[in-house]
Amino acid sequence: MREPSDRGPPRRDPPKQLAFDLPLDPRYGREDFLVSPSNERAYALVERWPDWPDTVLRLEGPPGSGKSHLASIWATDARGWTVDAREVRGERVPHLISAGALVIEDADRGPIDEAALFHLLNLARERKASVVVTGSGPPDRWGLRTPDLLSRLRLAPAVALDPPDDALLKAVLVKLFVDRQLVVDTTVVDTLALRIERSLARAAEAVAALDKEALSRGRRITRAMANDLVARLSPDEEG
Amino acid sequence: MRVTVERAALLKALGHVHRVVERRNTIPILSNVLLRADASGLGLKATDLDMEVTETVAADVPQPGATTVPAHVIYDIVRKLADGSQISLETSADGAQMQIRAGRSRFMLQALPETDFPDLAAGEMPHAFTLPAGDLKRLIDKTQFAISTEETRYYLNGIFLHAVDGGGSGGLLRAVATDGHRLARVELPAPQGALGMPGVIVPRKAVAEIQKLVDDGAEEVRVELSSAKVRLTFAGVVLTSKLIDGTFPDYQRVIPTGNDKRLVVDRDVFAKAVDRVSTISSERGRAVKLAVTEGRMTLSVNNPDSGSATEELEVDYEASGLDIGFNARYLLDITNQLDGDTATFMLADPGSPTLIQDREGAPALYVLMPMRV
Repeated sequence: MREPSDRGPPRRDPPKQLAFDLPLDPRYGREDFLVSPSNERAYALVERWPDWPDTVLRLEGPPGSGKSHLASIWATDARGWTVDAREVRGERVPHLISAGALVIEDADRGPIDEAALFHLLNLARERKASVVVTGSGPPDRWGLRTPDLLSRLRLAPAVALDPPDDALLKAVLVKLFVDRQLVVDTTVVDTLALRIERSLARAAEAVAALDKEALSRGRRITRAMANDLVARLSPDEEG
Repeated sequence: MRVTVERAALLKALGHVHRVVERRNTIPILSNVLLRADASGLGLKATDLDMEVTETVAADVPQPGATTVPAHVIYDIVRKLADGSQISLETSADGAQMQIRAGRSRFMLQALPETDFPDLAAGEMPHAFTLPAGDLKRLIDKTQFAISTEETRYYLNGIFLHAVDGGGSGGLLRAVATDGHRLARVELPAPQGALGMPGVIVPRKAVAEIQKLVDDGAEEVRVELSSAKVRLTFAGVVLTSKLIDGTFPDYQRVIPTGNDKRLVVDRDVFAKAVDRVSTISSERGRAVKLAVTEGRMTLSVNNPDSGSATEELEVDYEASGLDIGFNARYLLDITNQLDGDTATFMLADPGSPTLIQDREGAPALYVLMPMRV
């Protein structure tokens, strides 16, 4: 219902055709991991498994640098499970370690059962099970209160993934478009690589959003559409 | 090459093959139709490198041979020659020209050698089945409108043809097309030999040609398939086409199964009302809002530039009230495809896919995404 007004009807968004959600599942296979200077050390170490310096390996890197992807490649190879750090709880520890390989994701995000994690790392060493722990920085910044756990994690060898370099970000964008069977101009890739946050997660979000927008508009993906999208994703950058 | 052929037979065959030939070609030979005369008659073939059509007509062949001449030109010539005339085709001694004679008319066409004519090399076709022409027509006619015309989305630029289990013991042959806004799915009992076929995407241009050929009186159509090509044989006419090299999306995920708001309208009354109110909608928007309450629907269009329109209909609806917008053209496209007197809509909410059928369980099913209005 609109209030009668002599200023004419208020401006409204024009009707917008909605589009089907016809997604293609993202691919997290080994052949889908693109190696570049920003991640080659981490990739090489994961490849060397089980020839590791310790039973525990830390993967450090900012969100969207490819930690989870790399960890999932390793988990597939090692036939291990992947759990969120908050799912590591006392009674589950022996079960979690029983596969002989375990990925613990995002150990830096919020409170975890520190005693359980410490117990798990010790049990892993005892039973020669391999554990990969992912987090965005060194354990000193995770806010841990158990000194033994902290020192155990500090001692574990760590390998860092840097934010994607320019070449990697572009290669990943191209691959994301190809995975979605979308044909785009190189200027679209260049625009996105230049303007989105340097993160593989952001790249995937941007490509998914562009796919949806183009499907809704019934048009091809253009550089203008990519610019619109970037402006919408980060409005405060504009102006 | 020297051959005499009846005008009507040649015209019909040229009519089938010349459509494949693009009006503009950078490769000259692609503008031509291949004519080959031998003991079996006069064979014609045209291609655009993605698709080729061949047909053989009865002819008197005093001197076998082959040549190629501009397809649209020879079609136009034969079309304008007198009905019932006998047409003689004869290549010059050096093969550079072909003469066409009928009655007192005489034409010389520039010819290109047969050896330069491309061959689509169909290769082996491990899957084959035969189905009544009417069935194929139905599969195509009812889905074709939903094919995407956005060319960069190549994997949606065709009809997805595949066989699935279900529908009794023999399985189902399904045709599906979508442009991301609407989806059409038609199925029929799978002909023998169709089960086990790969799912293939038949490109839009081939679909249009198949549609014309199937209208031309064949009773049965033989379909042969490999993972890269499809060949259809209609009485005497053979169409071979490359398939779209892409993966059709998992379309079942967008067909709603839990929509519980059932709306039944008189198809004709509804379509006419949609058509009427959409008269004032803008070219770009085309949105019509359906406000549905118990037993009643109000259609409305609001166009800030030209005005507004509303119309009320009596409908069969018992669920809670709902306002939902659709593109008027899409509604008309779908109601045009329905066969029954009524149209059944299964609705959920203004942002979710709506299922439209003649009746629940009908072999043709349409899914439409709403517009946000």
